[in-house]
Amino acid sequence: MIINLRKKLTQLTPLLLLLSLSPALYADAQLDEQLLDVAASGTQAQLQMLIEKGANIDAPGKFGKRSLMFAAEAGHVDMVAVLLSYGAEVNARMRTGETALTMAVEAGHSEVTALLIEMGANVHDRTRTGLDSLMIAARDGNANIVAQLLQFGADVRSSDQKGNSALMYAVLGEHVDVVDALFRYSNQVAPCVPNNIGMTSLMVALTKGNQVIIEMLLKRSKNVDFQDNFGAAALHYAAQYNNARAAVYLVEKLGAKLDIQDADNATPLFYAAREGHSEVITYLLSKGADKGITNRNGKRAAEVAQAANKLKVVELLQ
Amino acid sequence: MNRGFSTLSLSLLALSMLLGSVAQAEITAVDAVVIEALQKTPDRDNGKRLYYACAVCHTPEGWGSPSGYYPQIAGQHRSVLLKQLADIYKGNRDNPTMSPFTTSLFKLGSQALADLAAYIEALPMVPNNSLGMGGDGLVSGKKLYEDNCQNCHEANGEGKAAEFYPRIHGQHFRYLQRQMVWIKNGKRRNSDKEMVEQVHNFSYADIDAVSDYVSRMKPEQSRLADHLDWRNPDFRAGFKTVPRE
Ligand code: HEC
Ligand code: HEC
Repeated sequence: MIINLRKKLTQLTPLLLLLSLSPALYADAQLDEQLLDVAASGTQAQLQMLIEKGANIDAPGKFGKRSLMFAAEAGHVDMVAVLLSYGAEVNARMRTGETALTMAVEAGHSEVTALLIEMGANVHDRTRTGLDSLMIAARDGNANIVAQLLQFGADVRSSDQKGNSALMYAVLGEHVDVVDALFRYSNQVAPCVPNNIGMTSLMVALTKGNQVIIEMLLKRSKNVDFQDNFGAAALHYAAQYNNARAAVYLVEKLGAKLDIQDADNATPLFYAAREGHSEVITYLLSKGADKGITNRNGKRAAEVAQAANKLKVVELLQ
Repeated sequence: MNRGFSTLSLSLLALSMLLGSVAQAEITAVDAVVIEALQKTPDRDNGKRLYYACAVCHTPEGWGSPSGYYPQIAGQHRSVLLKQLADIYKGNRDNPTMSPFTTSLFKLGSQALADLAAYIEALPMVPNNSLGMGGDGLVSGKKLYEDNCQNCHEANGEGKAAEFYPRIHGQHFRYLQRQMVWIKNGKRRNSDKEMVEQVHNFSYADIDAVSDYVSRMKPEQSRLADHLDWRNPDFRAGFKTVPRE
């Protein structure tokens, strides 16, 4: 213990010497320290005073976190404005990849994000988790920030390590206003682009069952016969989740294939049969779905319904 | 207070009665705050303090940018400024950048709004706003203005404070042009109905011509800053802002 301490002291000696020789330098380091504290939890007046006294606005604290980041994270609009007006570096990054912008987005402070973006913050930066600001705002349901980012060129087509796009995050969180903002501010949003497990935003929306979102996506869907990693297409999902309205739209407006088969050769009819969804079954049959098709196990949809004990629909399928 | 504004609340009330049956007599809370703010005696120092964050984008002078991305707001009637802020707050203008600021302002209430609007109104205007292409278009621009706009925006583009008609002279050409296009295609939804109808029938060439003409109408000398390098003395030298382009 003691030896350790002594060792440390000897290592520190040059530094201590330097500091004692230059009180100004020492004072500056203290000012910088105070600046970080004030940015996190002080007032605009205190901050301004420290800067006027000579504190370095870009001095990094632990892990490279700077005053602007502290103020941005805490949502202190006034202090963010002061720091920017003194020329604080907008695009500095922490060692973990966060920037003032990603922190403000993460915390949902939309005035701060507006200031940072207008002052040139890079809207494409990603955090350690692989998410960019747009995905974070979409995930958190922050439509206003989503719109700000899109106005400044954020890329709706980018996705995280799991292949999830901002649209996917908005759909997962059922954030109607975010989905709306995405479509309003960009014409490159694609509801039928898959993530790494092959699911598209449209498919996920069908599993969630939010009809408003589903309809917004359907209106912009192309390539609806895209199949997930198990071969299921959007129509399979509509069938499985008993969404007759979506099925009608898919078939009649978007030309989805009625008898598209998944990896087990099952058509949408099978999915509805297994769940006993008579409305969808009736609809698919009325459009000419083939009830004679057999799946990989040689079973027809009627037999699948029977096995799942959905007796009410067996008759329809016979 | 100013005589113009005592009749203002009445005309606003009448206006909201006229507007559709749904909103009949329903002056929204927001409009009420605007009316209240117009009757307050403004505190300039507080206005200056509140303008600090605005200045990062709008610059300390409030002169806007030649590219038209930022409008000149300096010298605008405070009634108009308040209405613009209210409209942005209500979501009538697609302005995701500004809208969170209006949320905070309306939370602060009518006195703060009065202070801020009065501060901006008192700022001298830019002496050399950017202009359109000039040339032959100006002749038709003048005619279009006199036939369609003058009634409300007045002979020299000075607008009418009591009726919320904006001062549009001295504004940057590109901003005028963009707003007219946005009004034409419905992106800006708050505008005066009559004006919207007119603008709908305008061709893009008409919009260019009238915007050019308007950009050349000069505010009275006394409203302009006395030289191009005038800087707002309430702000320290070297105050960094968004690029002024
Ligand atoms: C982050 C940047 C930013 C900040 C901060 C900001 N604004 Fe704006 N403001 C804008 C932009 C961009 C526009 C232009 C919007 C458009 O074209 O419709 C605008 C437009 C306006 C308008 C409408 C002008 C017109 O002619 O229609 C007013 C009024 C206004 N701002 C006032 C303010 C006030 C007051 C503040 C401070 C409370 C403020 N702004 C803060 C970016 C900002
Ligand atoms: C019936 C009255 C009326 C007429 C006529 C009219 N305006 Fe307006 N104008 C208004 C009002 C009221 C506003 C403010 C509404 C708003 O905030 O959108 C406005 C707003 C504007 C603006 C936006 C100002 C700003 O700072 O954002 C421009 C530009 C404009 N008018 C130009 C014109 C031109 C050019 C014409 C003629 C073609 C015209 N107006 C005709 C009433 C009128």
